[in-house]
This record gives sequence, C-alpha cells and structure tokens, in this order.
Amino acid sequence: MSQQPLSDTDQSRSIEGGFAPSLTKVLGVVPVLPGETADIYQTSLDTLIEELGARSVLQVYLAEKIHECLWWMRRYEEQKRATVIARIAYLTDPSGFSLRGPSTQSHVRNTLLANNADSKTVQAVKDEGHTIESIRQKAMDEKQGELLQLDQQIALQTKILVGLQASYEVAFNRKMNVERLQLQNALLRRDLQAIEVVAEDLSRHDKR
Amino acid sequence: MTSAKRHAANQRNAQRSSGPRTDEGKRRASVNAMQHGLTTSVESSPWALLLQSVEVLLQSDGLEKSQASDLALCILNYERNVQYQRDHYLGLRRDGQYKPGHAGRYLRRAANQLIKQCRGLKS
Repeated sequence: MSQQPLSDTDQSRSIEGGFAPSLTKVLGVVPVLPGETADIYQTSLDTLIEELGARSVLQVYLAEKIHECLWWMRRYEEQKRATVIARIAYLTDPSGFSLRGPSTQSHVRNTLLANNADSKTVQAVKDEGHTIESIRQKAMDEKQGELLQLDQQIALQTKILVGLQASYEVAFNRKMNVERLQLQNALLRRDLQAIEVVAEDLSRHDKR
Repeated sequence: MTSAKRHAANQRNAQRSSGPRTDEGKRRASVNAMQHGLTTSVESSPWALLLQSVEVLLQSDGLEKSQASDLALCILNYERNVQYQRDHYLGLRRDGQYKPGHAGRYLRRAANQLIKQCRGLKS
C-alpha cells in the first residue's frame, strides 16, 4: 500500500496513449500474485482500456477494476483445477514418498497440470482401479466443499463485474444517452407534425 | 499442561487484575478484539494517508470537492478489501486449502458502495 510515484515508462505510456494517470499505480497496488506474469496482465489491461475508450482518471480506474475482476475469476478457475489435480495425485499415491526420483504423486500432479497425461500417470490411476475420468469424479466429490467456496467467490466477482460495467455505462455514456433521447424526441416531433398532430405537449415535457 | 489447581489460581489472579496501566499497554489492549479491521472507517485506517492524493487526482478529472472526497473514500475502502482478499488468498494457497471466511461479505459491501457512488456522479 506504499505510495509510489509513476515511473517514467508509465508516464510516457499514459501521455502517448492519451490515458489519465492510473489511480491503482498511485495507490501502489500490485495486481499480480507470485507465479503470475505482470506483462500478460498489463497487455490485456491495456487492450481493455482501449476497447472501453477509457480516458479520464475514473474511467481508467473502473476499467482496471473490471479487468481485475476478470483476472480474479480466472485465478479462482485455476485454483479449482489445481485443487482437483492435487487430490487426484494424492489418490494415486497417498504417501507421496519415493527413495529414487520424483514420487508418483508429484509425477501425476505435474503431468496433469501440464495437460499431458503419460503412460506412467495412466498406469498409476489404473493401479487404483480407476480411469482418469472416474478418479477426477472422485477427487471432485471429495473436494466438493472447497470447490463450492471457490465457485461462490467466482459468483461474487461476476456480481461486482456486472455492477462496475453498469457504473461505467451510467457514469460515462449518460451524456451520449441524453443526446440520443433528444434526437429521438426531435424525430418523434417531426413525425407528429407530419401527421398534423401538435407536438406542443411533447416539447413541454422535454423542458421539464 | 496446566493443572486444575494452577488454572483456578490463574483465574483468581486475573479477576484481581486492573488491566493495562501504561499508555502503550492500553493502546495495545484496545485492538485486542480486532480481527481484520475491514469494518473500521477508512479515515482511521492506514489507508487514510492516501486519501488526499486520490482526492486531488479525482478533482483533476473535473469532479467537485465533495464528490471527489466521497468517491475517494469508497475507492480506498474497496482497495482495502481487495488487498485483504489478496493476502488472504495467498496465505490460504500456501496452506493448500481455500477457505475464504467472511471477507467476501465486506468486499461485496465495499463494491456496492463504490458502484453506487459512481452511478451518482453528475456527467
């Protein structure tokens, strides 16, 4: 939470891109956790800011928060996957002990995390009387409570994300919506005049 | 393991205690019940140090002083909750099990306040 000045790179990026200074950077918040790549985070954040057309301080801040919610959702999904894989690995080799080389448990965990189940992994699962699918079901069943809590966190982030998106729309596209409504009213008035109906009431309503 | 006799003696002695005497002791005891500090006001938390910088930045965005001040409080409160969520998540990930506890409730509340504040801005 330390207060950090914006670096030269950040400032030049802001000026070149026409972005306002990032509030998150002023607050000194580091959005990525150990093991995550800051460059990937920054690239996708820049893309989102550009897509939303965020220019002011608050617009950029809301865009950052929207992006953060999406990142948390991805993070929780990854955590769910890691939880199930860790359980599968435990079920294939509860002791996790090996005199030579990596244990079966760590081998299974590593291959499944890399989405590359080799013959040793399949054999270890088979030795427990399971297929990859059936052991996955068992692991999910045993870790149901934890998975449910992670799902609840994803639901919370989704709810926050929807709220932030709506705020962004309401706070910054309101002017555009007002102009759109005025144009629609003008069009309606013209149509009414065309069919010889006095649009007086309508214009009075507009003034109110 | 404390014996039953020792336990009873400890309880009797504690009854006679008049509490902390020094200012430092009183200050420390005053936060004994604090668990995460998410329910205290932002102004009385360490985040208050950043209040002015955030207000100034928001004012540079064209917001009025009162609007900038209210919004800055909501932003800092939300950031405080996200920070707690991040630390909590890291700690629990190290332990190998995820138990979010009640932190989600405070995060939801802070997010609602921020969303409401942003919606109320005059364009």
